[in-house]
This record gives sequence, C-alpha cells and structure tokens, in this order.
Amino acid sequence: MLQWLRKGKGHWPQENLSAFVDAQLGAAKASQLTAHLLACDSCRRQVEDMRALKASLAALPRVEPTRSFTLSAAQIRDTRGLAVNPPQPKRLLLAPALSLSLLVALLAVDMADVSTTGRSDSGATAGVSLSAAQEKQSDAAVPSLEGGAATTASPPAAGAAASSRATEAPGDANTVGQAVENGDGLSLLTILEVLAGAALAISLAVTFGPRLRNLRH
Amino acid sequence: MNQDELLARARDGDLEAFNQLVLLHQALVFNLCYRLMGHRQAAEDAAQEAFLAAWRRLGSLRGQLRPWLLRIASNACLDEQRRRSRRPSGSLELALESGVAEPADPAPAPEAVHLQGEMRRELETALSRLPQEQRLALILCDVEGLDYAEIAAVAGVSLGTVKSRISRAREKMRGILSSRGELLAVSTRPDSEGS
Repeated sequence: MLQWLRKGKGHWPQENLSAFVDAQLGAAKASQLTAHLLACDSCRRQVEDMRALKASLAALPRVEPTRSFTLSAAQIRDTRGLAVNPPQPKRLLLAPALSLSLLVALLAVDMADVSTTGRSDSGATAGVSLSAAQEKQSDAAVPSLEGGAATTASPPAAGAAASSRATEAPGDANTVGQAVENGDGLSLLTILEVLAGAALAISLAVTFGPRLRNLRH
Repeated sequence: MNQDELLARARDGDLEAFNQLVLLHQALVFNLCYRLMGHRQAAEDAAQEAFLAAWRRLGSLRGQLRPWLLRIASNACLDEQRRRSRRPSGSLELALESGVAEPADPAPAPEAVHLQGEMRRELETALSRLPQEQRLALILCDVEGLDYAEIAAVAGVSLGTVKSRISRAREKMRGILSSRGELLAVSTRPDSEGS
C-alpha cells in the first residue's frame, strides 16, 4: 500500500496512471504505459489499486428516491405568489425594448428642438425684455420646464415668480422667452418623455425583477 | 417524442414536456446529490431544488442537457449543505461517522448491493472527506461513469483539471482507506470477481 505514495525514478506520473485506468490517456501514451507496466511493479501495483477503488465505487448501490421530482404548477410559483418565469425571453423583452425606443425617439426630438432654439437665442441680443403679454404666456410654460407634473400651478403665483425673475436676471428672461416660443409643444414632449421613462422602468421591473430574485436564490 | 423535442417544448414553457425530461434524468440527478451529500433527505431536497432551478433557467441552456443538469444539481447540493450547516444537526460528516447518514436506507434493490454495509459506509465516509471539487469529479467518473469531457462540462473546468482532480481524489481516498487496515482489500475482492 505504501507503494501508492512512493514516487521512484522512472515511474509514470500518477495523473497519467489515473487517466490510464479511466481509458482517457490517449492511444500512444496508453501503449507506452502498457509496455512500462510489464516491467514496473510499482506502477503496476498503483494501477491495480486504482482499478480496485474504481470498481468499489462503481459497485456502490443505486439509491431510489422516495418521491418524484416532477414539478407542479404550484411549485413553479415562487413563495410570493408570482409566477416564476417560464423560459420565454423574447416576448418579455419586447415591452422594455419598445419603451426604450420611444424614450430615445422623444429625447432625440427634444434635443433637436432645443438645439434649434439655442441657435436662435445665440443670435439674439442681450437684454431682452418681456412684454406683459409674453409674461402672461410664460406663466404656464415655466412650471412645465421645471417639472412636467407642476403644470397645474395657479397662473397668478407662477406669473409673479416669472416676472420677479425677469426683472432680477435678464438671463432668466431669455429662458422664459424660449419656453414661450416652444409653448405647449415642449410641455407635451416633456410629459411624453416622463411617461416613456416610467413605462421603461415598469417594464424592466416586471421583466427582470423575478429573474434577479431567482439568481439570488 | 425524443429529448430534443421535449427540450424544445419545455423551452416554450410546456411544463409537461419538462416533467418528461425530469423523469428521464431524476435517478441520475438524485444519485449524484445523494453521493455528494451522503444523506437521503438532503439529497431529495437538493434534487428538487435543482429541477426547479433548471426550469427557471432553461432559457440559458447552451449545449447538452445532462451535464447542464448535473452542474445545477452540484450547485444545489452546495446550497443545501450551506443551509444545513447553519443548523446544529446538519453535520453530514458527523452523521456519516455515526452511521446514521442513511436513516431510511429503505430498500436498495438487493441485486444492486455488491458491498457489505460496513464497507460501503467506509467508502462513503472516505468520499465525504474529499474536497468538494475532487468528490464531484470522482463520483462522476467512478460512480456515474462519465468521461472526462463530460465531467469538465459539469464542473466548468478544463480536461487537465479534471484529470488532476480525479488523480488527487484517488490518492486521498487511498490514504483514508489504508488507515482502515485491510478494509479496501476485502471490499474490492467481490468486485474483482464480479467485474
């Protein structure tokens, strides 16, 4: 038995002896080793021991499970009652892809619009003042620039804020004027962008949420 | 319906087709779990988790089903061992040592039993003392009869690594069993006759 651990000169590496036992050595090497084993008691003994161990392990009894592992519809639902995703990735990926495309398209339109407006602003002279009519028009536009959800702000309050900014900072007046030029079109675009963003977030959560949870398990 | 057709239908969400695949592979998966864990109940839990995980991840299957399933099963065993090791009564090695690892041992088919109970337990104990990756390689090779290429696919390693792991596992098994006197020599006698 101690021969197993002995590594004498001229003996084959144990890895090769082991692979030989499994018939995984390759024809040429196997042939050489077969010849070597005829002359080397140590290597032959190791091979015999490995074969004996392999036979012992192969003879371990097969064990029958006490139940079947087939899955029921209830089992493929997770503990939180959500259906575990059956393997249908294509359909599930459609919603996020559409939402993302819509958002990108809206942003592209928005940016093109802003850059056009930016060019007209750069050509304008400094110190633009607002007429009373322009001030009134800007009341609705200012909240929409600061956040689409604020479009219901009362016009008098917003108007006061806009007019105070217009008198304190001429730069702000330009911004307000820009909003006036874009008018309701920009507000609608912003709202659509927000909606597309929300749709993207929801579809991503629905699609990948269960998968991420499964990965954690 | 052959396995490829069943697999295609299962990929489309057909649970019945998937369950046909479960029936085809459950003996292999369960026996691997049992040999890795040495405990029937733990092995059944791991095998069930493995098939559930396989259903969930069927979309990610590339290549052959069998090594993929066995890989999931070996990972499920690791998870199950971690879960059980957190419990005081979960030491499988202690269970093997005390001879209660197979409490039910309900009825392995008599014709399949080639080793005496004590000898079998010694082999199982020796297996349980191998490092996990060596145990997996040796079980797949010597108990389940897989070739190196398929073992490499299950373990996610190279052929050279498989060769090395099996060799080291055998050396370690030999060391453990040789400390038990003539046990191995006795245990191998009937197998040599039988093979």
